[in-house]
Amino acid sequence: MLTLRRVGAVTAVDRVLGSSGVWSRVAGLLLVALVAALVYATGGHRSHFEDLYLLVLVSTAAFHASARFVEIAVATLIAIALPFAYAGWSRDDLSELLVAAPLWLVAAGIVHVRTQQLRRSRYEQARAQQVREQFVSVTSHELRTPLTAIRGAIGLLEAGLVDPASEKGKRALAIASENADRLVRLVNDLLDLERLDSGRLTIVPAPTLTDRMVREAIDAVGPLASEAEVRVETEIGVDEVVCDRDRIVQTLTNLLTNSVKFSPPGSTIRLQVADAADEVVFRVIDHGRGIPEHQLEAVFERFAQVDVDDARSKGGSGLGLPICRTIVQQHGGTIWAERRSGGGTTMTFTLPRVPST
Amino acid sequence: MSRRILLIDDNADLREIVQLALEVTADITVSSAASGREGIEIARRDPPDAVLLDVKMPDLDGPETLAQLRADPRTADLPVLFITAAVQPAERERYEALGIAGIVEKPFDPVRIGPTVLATLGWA
Repeated sequence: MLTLRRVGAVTAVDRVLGSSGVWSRVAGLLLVALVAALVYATGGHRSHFEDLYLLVLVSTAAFHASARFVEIAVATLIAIALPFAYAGWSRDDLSELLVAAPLWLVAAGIVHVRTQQLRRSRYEQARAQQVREQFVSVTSHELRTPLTAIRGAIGLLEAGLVDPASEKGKRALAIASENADRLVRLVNDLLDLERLDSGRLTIVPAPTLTDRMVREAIDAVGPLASEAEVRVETEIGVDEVVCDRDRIVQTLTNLLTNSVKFSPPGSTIRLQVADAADEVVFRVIDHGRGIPEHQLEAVFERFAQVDVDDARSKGGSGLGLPICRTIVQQHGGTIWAERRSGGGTTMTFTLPRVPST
Repeated sequence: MSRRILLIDDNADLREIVQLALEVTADITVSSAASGREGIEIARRDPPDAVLLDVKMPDLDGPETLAQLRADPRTADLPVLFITAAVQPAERERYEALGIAGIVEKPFDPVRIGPTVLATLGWA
């Protein structure tokens, strides 16, 4: 009978502690202490079974409440103290308890730590799964949209419903080919990002001439810039940077491309490379339309273009800045966007003088 | 007298292609809006015969736009078709419970989209 009651007590404790919240945790731990004290006070003599029982009780409490270790310790102390206060226990009992108590604490501690680990890893797994699902969902939407446009345009032409030589036919063909280009860019950028994130594409830093790197990036955006009638000026105050040349050229090209796309004709973009304490600071400063305050951080997320029509009118994949961020972070640097008071954006990234990789 | 459909989709290329497909395959006159908000405004000012509504849009998405159309007496009774990527059965049920006339799946066959829309709306 007594044993059954005790099992019942564990289940009740279990239930109380199953709920979350600070007060139910405190209440649960007090309950544990009380039950433990009662077991001692009414049990007549203590056996190893009862020691074990308390151990299970305190461990269960720790497990479910995911209590801090200090809380478990307090509960245990109360459990020990109560019988002395109310059940007339003696010094002999105390000595026996003093032997048992550390054992419970150690056991409870182990259970506690292990529980936290399990919870954390379960949480992390769930979080990773969520991120993966989100990514698949967003990516499939991004891939499907151009496909739908291509499929629609080609279907109409193929069925002879629209004459390819007509104005509408030419529009349909242009939409199909623009969206095919967009798909290519999207797939390339997705692969780049995936290779960078998975570590298959690693950063190999080496001493690199700043001037050459900047020149290469400017040459890459040259046609786009002259078409947009935008000039790029440089101020290079650092001769040499230790970095992965190709990746930093890619980063600069991405940043310059963005700036060119959003700059008004006749404006100038400034590319600065400056020396700071223990890092090199790159800045791309434009007079474009700027990024809204609340999106300054979001633009570094995948597919987070400021305006939904940008993907089409500006031709970006929505992955350029996420790629830049990954590259800069892998160098041990940081990247951020700022609004300029006179309009426009300053994109800044830093590279440590001595790379951390 | 051809029927008039209001197309609400955030992607400009898709608006163009859907509009072209509906015009040439079903002689439907299409006006279009780039966002839920713009669509609601147009529908209130000049109610079409039906609305073709993209589900996944920033700001106001399809279901939210639908709710606002339903809440206004001028647009409450408009037949609404959702246009969306292939949906799971559970999602389809959820959408259908919103009281829509049907779903057009992306990517769509442009030759059949017109007749499908006509049949779904009982205009065939």
